[in-house]
Parts: sequence; structure tokens; C-alpha cells
Amino acid sequence: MSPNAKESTFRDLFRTLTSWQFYTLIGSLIVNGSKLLWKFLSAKGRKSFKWSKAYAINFWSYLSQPENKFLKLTLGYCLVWLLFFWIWTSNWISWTWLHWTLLIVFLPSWYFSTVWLLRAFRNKWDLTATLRLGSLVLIPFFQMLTFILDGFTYEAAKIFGGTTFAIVSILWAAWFCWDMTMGSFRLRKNLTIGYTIVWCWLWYLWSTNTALFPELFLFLFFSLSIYLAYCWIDMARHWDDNIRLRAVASVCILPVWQWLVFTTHFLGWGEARAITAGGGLAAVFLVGLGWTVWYVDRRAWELQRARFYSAAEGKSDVDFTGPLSAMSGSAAILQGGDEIWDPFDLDARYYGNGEKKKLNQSLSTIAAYSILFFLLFLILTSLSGCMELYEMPAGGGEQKQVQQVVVQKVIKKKFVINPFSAVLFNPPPIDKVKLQLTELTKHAYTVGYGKGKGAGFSGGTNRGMVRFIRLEYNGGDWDQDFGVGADLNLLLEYHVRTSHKTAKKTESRKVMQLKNFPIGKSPPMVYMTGQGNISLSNKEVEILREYLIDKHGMIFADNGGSGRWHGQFFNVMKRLFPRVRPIKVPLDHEVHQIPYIIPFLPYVAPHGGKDAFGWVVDSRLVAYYHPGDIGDAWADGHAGVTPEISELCYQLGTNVIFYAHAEYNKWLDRQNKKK
Amino acid sequence: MKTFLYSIFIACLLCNIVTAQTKINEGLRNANDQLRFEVAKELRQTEKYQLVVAQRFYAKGDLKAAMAEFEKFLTLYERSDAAPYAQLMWSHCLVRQRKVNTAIRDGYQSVIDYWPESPEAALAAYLIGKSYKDIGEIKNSIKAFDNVREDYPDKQVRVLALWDMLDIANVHKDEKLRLKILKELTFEIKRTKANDYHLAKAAQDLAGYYFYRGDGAKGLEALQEQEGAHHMRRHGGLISHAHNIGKGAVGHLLKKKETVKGGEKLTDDLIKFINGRVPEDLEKGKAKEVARDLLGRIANLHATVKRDKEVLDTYERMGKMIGMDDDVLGKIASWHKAKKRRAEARKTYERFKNKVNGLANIAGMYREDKDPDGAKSIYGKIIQLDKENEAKWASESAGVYRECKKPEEAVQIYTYVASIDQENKGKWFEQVAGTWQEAGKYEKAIESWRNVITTTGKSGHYWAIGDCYVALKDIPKGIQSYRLSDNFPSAYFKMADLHRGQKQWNEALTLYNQARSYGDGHAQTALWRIGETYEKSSRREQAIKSYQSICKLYPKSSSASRAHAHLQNKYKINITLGGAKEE
Repeated sequence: MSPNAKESTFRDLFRTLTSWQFYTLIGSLIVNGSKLLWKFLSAKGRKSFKWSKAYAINFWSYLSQPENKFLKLTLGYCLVWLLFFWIWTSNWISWTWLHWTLLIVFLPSWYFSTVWLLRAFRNKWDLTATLRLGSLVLIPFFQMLTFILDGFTYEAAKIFGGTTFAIVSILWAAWFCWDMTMGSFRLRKNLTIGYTIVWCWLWYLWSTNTALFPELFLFLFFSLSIYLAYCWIDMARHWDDNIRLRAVASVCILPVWQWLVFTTHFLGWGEARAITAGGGLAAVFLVGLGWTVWYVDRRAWELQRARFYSAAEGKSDVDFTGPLSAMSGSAAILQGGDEIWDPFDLDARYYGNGEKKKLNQSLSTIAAYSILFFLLFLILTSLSGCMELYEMPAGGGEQKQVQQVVVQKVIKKKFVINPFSAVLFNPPPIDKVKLQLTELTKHAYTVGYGKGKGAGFSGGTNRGMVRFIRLEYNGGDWDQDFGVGADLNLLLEYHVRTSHKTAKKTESRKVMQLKNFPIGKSPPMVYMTGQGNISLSNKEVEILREYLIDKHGMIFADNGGSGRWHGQFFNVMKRLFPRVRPIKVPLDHEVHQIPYIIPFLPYVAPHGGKDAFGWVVDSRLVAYYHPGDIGDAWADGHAGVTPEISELCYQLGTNVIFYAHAEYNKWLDRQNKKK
Repeated sequence: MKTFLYSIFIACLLCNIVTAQTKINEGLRNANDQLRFEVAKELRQTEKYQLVVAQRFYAKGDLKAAMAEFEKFLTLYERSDAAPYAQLMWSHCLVRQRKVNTAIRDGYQSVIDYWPESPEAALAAYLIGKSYKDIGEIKNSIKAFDNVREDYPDKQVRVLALWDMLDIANVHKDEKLRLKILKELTFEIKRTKANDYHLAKAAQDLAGYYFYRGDGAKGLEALQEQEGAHHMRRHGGLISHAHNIGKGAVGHLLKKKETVKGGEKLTDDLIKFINGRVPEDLEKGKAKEVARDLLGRIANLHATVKRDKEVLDTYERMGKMIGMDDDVLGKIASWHKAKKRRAEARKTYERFKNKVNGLANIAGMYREDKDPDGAKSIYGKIIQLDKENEAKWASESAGVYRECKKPEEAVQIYTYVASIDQENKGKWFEQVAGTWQEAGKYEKAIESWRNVITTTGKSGHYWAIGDCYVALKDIPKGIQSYRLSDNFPSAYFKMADLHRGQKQWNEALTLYNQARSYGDGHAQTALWRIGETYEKSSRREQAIKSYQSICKLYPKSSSASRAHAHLQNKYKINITLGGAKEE
């Protein structure tokens, strides 16, 4: 084939793909797909409802039998137990007396446990059932102990609760594996459905950074999915149906992919996480493509076979095309009549009349699948309602400067009595003399804002924590030294200095992703650095403005190494706030005073001058710009600056994070008052 | 002898007093920082001495010491007339140390609280607002400025406060506040020498505000209110401002269909106003010049709204009033040119009394039309009339050929000019060489530049020869020529760059090192390039050393900042630039 001929073939192909027929094909695919899905879902839904209703009625009549009265009582108590367990773990109770009152609610759990254990022994339940019951009973047993411990010391309760929770989790994970190995198909199916629902929920919590469960627990839970996948593939191997085996294997890619991503994240392997995430996406795409092509090909073949047999039967409206045409097109085609619109049919009008119908169908399938996959990907990531939450750590405190802990020496009370004195003394008995040897004057407050138990923010939640989010932008090196240690070092220092709960890892978000945070649950501050260009689209500028104003956010910008970045950042701020002029942030501004007094602006290298700039909107800093690579001073080695400067840099970083969170909390308070 | 000694003692004493008096305010450039003379002259010597000490620290920038000295003054002489001044200066020290909030709270406010009747209190009240503005606390700032307006209506600080408020209104696009302030400044405040600029500028801004809304009468009223302001008179007077601001506004209004009528009405208002000021008796003083200026402005306004007939009529009127001289004819010709009536323009130039100028303008039109032959023939006519300046007119003709990219013809004329103007031969040879170089004929250019060097003896032209050789890709000769140019250290950099381009690393490094001896600025650039050269020649260690040298030798420079970032990005090496220090 000459180069020209090749070019024209591609041109023709492109024309065919971009013609209106192509869009008709996609439309038909969507319509047909939706119809099928609706049909399937509605049938399943009706069936499930009927089944659930019948099951519920049966179960209730079972419980209503006189011999099951105790079971009914136990189940009722379980509901009450769960409710109060939730109240307790949500830290809603701040009064000590109320804590002990709740003991009355939890105490019966031991009674019910004992009764059920006795029943098991008396009625000689089989070993598995008894062991299962024993595992179940462990839950209220450990819970009660933890609850009692919590009444005395929170820290010890936390450790004990965590440990026992891990023990019970491992035990139930073992039961899960046992049932998946030994159980009937129905049990395995139901366990898989149940596990999948919980898996989805936990995956959602993890992906939205909601730290409801410790990461170790999540790791254990997600690891079960690998065993689950293994069990299903092992089961499918005995079905003698390759298609079903492949289908199971294909579905199993999802949990394996998720597990790999989670594990690499859990181990802190940032690059490996990115590779597994990307690789998994590619694998899902390819597997999906394979299934789509297989299904389209199968349907086309069925339709062709039907038409071929019709032709063989001598039907007048169908005719053979000949073996050569059948190789790349249809084996038999309709003569006259209506035009075919079914995309699975090779003779559909949009595949043309030539000899390359099959090629056209395959290419159209690939293109349509790719577009749909891409759209789905977009919907599930940036365009989706993938709502993310940022919650501050619960607690309270005052927005004041850190004071030194002073040990005040108190002079001992001395009773000096001369035993030879003529005067009669009447000294008090030595045991009754209260000697105040020393008196400690410590922090009269904790660093934080508002009223609450422990250091934190009154607008925060128990699962909330201070997170350090870096802003991703186009055009430059937003990821300068990202993940090396600077951001994390600061976060750790912040935790040490303020005792606020902080995230274990730092994060990054794209500008567009800031949209996913709802008002009132968005990050009070994002960090931005670099030394190249900053390129923001109008949409991104709009989102950033919304984040800073409507969501009360703040940018902490750090010039990572060039005068150009200084200009770039100032231009961005001019686009964001054309009516706000940058100001030199005074050294006696809150951000330079609380919790640490910053006597002068510390920097590593004065890339953008020696003054910190700020943009003030309604008496609040919406952006704080540090001109001299403060991030370098946070990193290991502190970029060679003196210990005094690196310490000041940590203090300044702490101040900025605290300022953003305190201002956010004040705003939340105002919003609540308005309501 | 006794009398003599007594006289010397008295003289020394007087001298001491005078010196002490003059030392007050020494080194304080800002008027706000200076002590009022009427207070200074009443102070006791000890007070003056204490203030001078404090002020010297302040002027030197040793702000902590200055604060301590001002505090000492306040402790020792609490009842002194200069006490509010000392408190004010103490606050200034805080502002300069970037502790603005403390300065407002403990400094300026104290001046108002303790010495409410002093002139410093008014200044402090204004400075509170200004400081709030500088730290972005706009609401507080406006509140403070409002207080100043109410509490000190007759003081200069009111004008300053209004001026700052106007700035806020401009930035925040608060048109309502802007208008209110402009009106207050223009109409409600008595003009003094101190506020002359502010009031005149406000009147201009107010006029602009009204003009851009098509309201000529109100705009003119604002300008007339401040007609007597020195600033207004110094910058062209009332008519000039009305015309310039009005012209901009008319242009703006004509852009939109719905405001075209407003634009035309504004033009009529302005023309009517200017017309009313055209003198009737042209024999008095500079009446003719005034009439020429005013009618010219009227024609200009007509031109802005594209009234062709009225423009020409106005110029005719001007001609009738002050005589149809070359200036008026030139304006008419320019108008024809603007309307693309080139034939009429040429005819008008032909009517010039000064024939040479008229023809030069016609030649200029050929030049605009890119017609060198036409221009040449006109310049020929000029030469016939003005034989003395033959070289000038001929070179102009050559310039037209050069612009039209006809180097041969241009060179021919330049050569002829050089032959008739022996005195400036070198200058014309330069033009010849430049023409060849511009046309990309580098061999001929080199030859011509050599000719220039022989004629003028200036070795600097070797640089141009170097450029030509580089363009011909003859790098060795190029390098040789740059060296001969004696333009150091630029020549070192140029030669080194060329060697680097040829991968002759050692030669390049030697030359960059030679450039280092020409001061810190060049040394930084040279070190940077040395680092780059080592990098390109894969000598990593030496490259790092070069960049580190920049950081160590010039830690405060922008080159150090760049080298610091480069070391960190490329080599993951952290090097300190000393970090911050308390200043």
C-alpha cells in the first residue's frame, strides 16, 4: 500500500468515526444499556422486596414463639446496647457522673452473655456453635472492661480498647475465613454481599479521609478481600465454565487493586501507590474492554447465525453474501425492508455497506467503550459528587501566646522552737502542719479555640484532625520536595507543640478538588509552594475564590526558590482578589504572635524579599505569603540554617496553621449563632 | 585680654546653642518625623540634647535604641511641649519595626489620650487610620479617618484622611464613597499651600467622573472651583485640563451606541466653554497665542467626534483671526492626512511660506508611502533650494532607501554624502557599514566597518565586525574581533560564550575567570556561567563548587538565591545563605 493510500484509508476511517452515525451508535448503546439495566434492577428489586418481607414475617413469628422469648429479649437489648455504645464512643458525655450512670445500661450485657453461655453448655451445642458464641460474648465482655477503665483513665482505656478490639477483629476475621472455606455456597454468597457492603463503606471512609477506624484495622479488613477473591476463584475453577471463571477473576481485580493501593499507602510507599493506582486503572480498562469486545462479538455472531439459517431456509428477505465477504463482514444480509439500528448487528446502517463492517464495528466498540469509561472515570473522580470532609480535632482552648512553665518555690513553714526557752510554746502536732513544698504554675490554658475537653477546637469532632494539604496546580513544580519530610515534619511539630490530633501523613489536592469539600467541613488552610510558573484556569480561580471566601479557607504560600514565583503568586492573588492589596504582615499580627511570638521573619533564602505578605479580607488573612523557602527549614537538615532559625520556622508554621484553624472555628461559631 | 576672652566665651556659647538648634530634625527627611520649630525653640538644652540623641538613633535606623531614648525623654520630661512628639516618634519606631498594631494601640492612641490638644494628636489620629489601611484593616481604617474628619475639620490631616479614603474607594470600586470624598475635597475645603495638590487633583478626578457620565456642566464646575490652584495652573491651567480630561471622556462615550449622544453633548459643552474664553482683542499681550491654543483645542474636540467640516472651519477661523501661517497650514494638512486626503495634504504643504519645510513634509509623505524614488526627487528639489544642507537632505533620501530595503541605492547616496562632507566622513561610513549589516551582506559590512575603523580610529567597531563573523559562522574570527573591541568585561563574556558553544571548555572557563575581576556584579554572572560550563562538560563536583561559591561570596544577592535553588533542585544539596537575622 502506498503512503497516500494509507493516509486516505485513515482519513476515511476518521470520517466514518466522526460522522453523525457514530454519535447515533453511542446513543443507541446508551439507550439499550439503560433499558437492560432498568429491566434487570426493577426485576431484582421486586424479588428482593418480596423475599425480605417474607423473611421478616417468618423471623418475627419465630421470635413470637414462647420458647424464644429470651432470644427476643436479647435482641432487643442488643439494639439498646448498640445505641448507647455509639453514644459512648462519640464522646458526647462530658460529665463523669453520667458516665457511671451508663454502666447500668451496659451491665446486663454480662448477664445475657452468661445466660447464653450456660444455655450452650447445658444444651450441648456443637463445638463450632459454642466457639462462635464465645467469640460473640467477648465483645460485651471487653467493652464493659474498657468502659470501666475509661471512667478512671482515658489513655489506659484507649490502649486496652484498641488491643481487645484488634483481638476480637482477628477472631472474627478467622471465622470469616473459616466460613468462606467451609460454608455452603449460599453462606459464601451472603457473606460476600455483606462483606462487599462494609468494604464499600470503609473504602468510602478511607478515600474521604474520615478516620473512624485505625488504619491497621482497615488493613486487616481489606486484606480479607484477597482471601475472599481466592475463595471465589477457587470455587469457580470447579464450575467447568471458563466464562464464569474469567468473570469471577475479572471482578476479583477490583478488591485486589484496592488492596494494593491501600497497602502501599499504609506502608508509606508514595510512588508505588501511584503506580498501582495507575496500573490498576489500566488493568480495569483493558479487562472491561475485553469483556465488551467479547460480548459485542458474541451478540453479532448470534444475529448473523440466525440470519444465516434464515437464508439457508430460503427466506426471501435474506440472502448469502459469500465466504469472502463473510470474513470481514456479514454472512447474510437483509434484502430491502427496514434499516437496522441495533449496534450489535453487523448490518447496522452505521457500519456502512463495504467489506469492512467488522472492522468498523470493532473500532466503534473500542471508541464507545473508551469514551464511556473516560466519562465514568471523570464522574467518579473530579466531576463527581465525591464529597470530602475536613474536620478539625475536637476540644477547646484559648488563642493566647505560649507561656513558660514556671516552678515557683514556696518557702517552707518552719517552726523553730528553742527547747531551752523559758516561754511556754504550744506548737501544733507535727502531722497537722501542711507543708506546701512547691507550687507549679503551668499553662492556665491549652492551645486551641472555644470550650471543649482537651486541646482542639470547639467546632471540631472526635474523628477530626489537623491535616496538612498541599495544593496541586499546573504550570510549575507544586510538588517541590513533596513527601520528603518538610510537610510531615511540620505536622509532627505542630502536634508536639499544640497537642492537637494530627494526620499521620500529609496530602495533596488539586485546585478543582477543593470543590468537593462542603461549606463548614473544608480545610481551613492549604499549603502552596514552588519556584516555576503557576497556571490557573478561570474555573480554578473561581473555585479557589469560593474556597477562600465562602468556605473561609486560607492559602499558606511559600516561595520555594525564585523571584519569578513571587510575581506569579502575586498575579494569582490579583486575579483572585482584584480589590485587595497585599500588605506586609506586621510582626505583632496574631499570626506572628500566637501561640509563638515571632521576633523577626525567619527565612532560608530571601527569594522574594524579607517580608511576609498577606491579603486581608474582612479583617482575616486569606493568604499568607512567606518569601524565603520556609519549607526547606522544616525539612531534615533544615537547609543548613542555624537551629534558632529552624526552630523559628517551625514556630511560624505552627502559628499559621493554628491561625487558620482558629479563624475557621470563629467563623463556624458565628454561623452556628446565626442559625 | 579679659574682654577678648569673654567675647570668645560668649561666641562659643552662642555657637553651641545655634548648633544644638540646628541639630534638631537633622537626618529626618519625612515631615511627619520632624519636631515643630515653635516647640523646638522653646525647649531647654537638656531636653534638646535628649531628643537629638533619640533622633540620631532613629535616623540611623537603630530603632530599639531610639525607642529607649524617646522613652527616657518621656520619663524625664513628661510635661515638656515635645512630649507628644516623643510619643509619636516612639510609635514611628514601632511601625518601622513592623509592629503596627502595638504602635496604634500603645503609641498613637496614647498621643491622643494624653495630649489631645496638641497638633501631634491630630497627626496621630490620622496615622491610626493610615496604619490600619497599611495592614489591610479597611473597616477600622475608614472608621479612624471618619473620626479625623469630624474631630479636626480645619486641619491638614482631614485632607490627608480624605485622600487615603479616596484611595480605598478607588481600589474597592466604591463609586458612592469616591464621589462623596471628591465633592468634599473640591468644594468644602479651603485651599492652602499644603493641600493645593490634593484639592486640584480631586477637582480633576471629579471632573473626570462627571465627564465620563456625559455631564459637562458639573465637571466644568468642579474644575472652575479649583482654577486658582497652583498645581492646576502649573500643569496647563483650567482649559488644558478640561480639554484633556474631556477628550478622553468623549472618546470613551463614543465607543458605545447608547452613550454616543452624551459624548456629542459633552463635546458641545466643552467647545462652548472654550469658545467663551477665546479673546476678542487680539492685539493685547499674548492674545494671539491664546487664541491659537484655544481654537486648536476646539478643532481637536471636533476631530474627536469626527466632524470634518467643523475642523476645517475652525482652522479657517484660526487663519482669519491670526493669519494663515505655516503652523495653521500644517494643522490643516495633518487633518487632511488623517482623513486620507493625501493630495489635498500635499497641496496644503505646497502653500507653506517656508518652501523647504513644506517640501520636507511632502518628502515625508512619500517616505510614509514607501516611495523612495518620489522622496528622492523631492529631496532633490529641497537641495536646490537649500544647498548648504545638501549632506543632511541627501542622507535623509538614503535613509528612505534603507527603510525600503534597497541597500545598494542607500550606500551609493551615503558614499556620495561622505565625498561632499569630508568632516563627517566617518559618520557616513558607519551608515554604509550599518546598511550592509542590516541587509545581511556581512562580507561587505566587515569591509565597511574596517574602513570606519581606519577613518575614525575607534576600536569599538570591532564588536560589529565580531557580530558579522558570528553571523557568517566564522567563530574564531568572531572571537578575535571581540577581543580587539576592547569592550571589557562584555567581550570576555561574549568570547567565553562562543568558546562554550564550540565545546572549548577550558578556554571558556579562563575567560569567565578573567571577567570575575570586574566587580561583584560581573563576578556573580561569571561564577554562574562557570557553573553552567562545568555542568555542560559533565564536571559535577566543580559545578557544585561554583554554585556554592556564589552562595558563600554573595549570600544577599539574587544570584545566590538562584544558585541555592539550583543546588537544591538539581543536586539535592542544601546550603545556607545565612538565614534571617533580627534587624
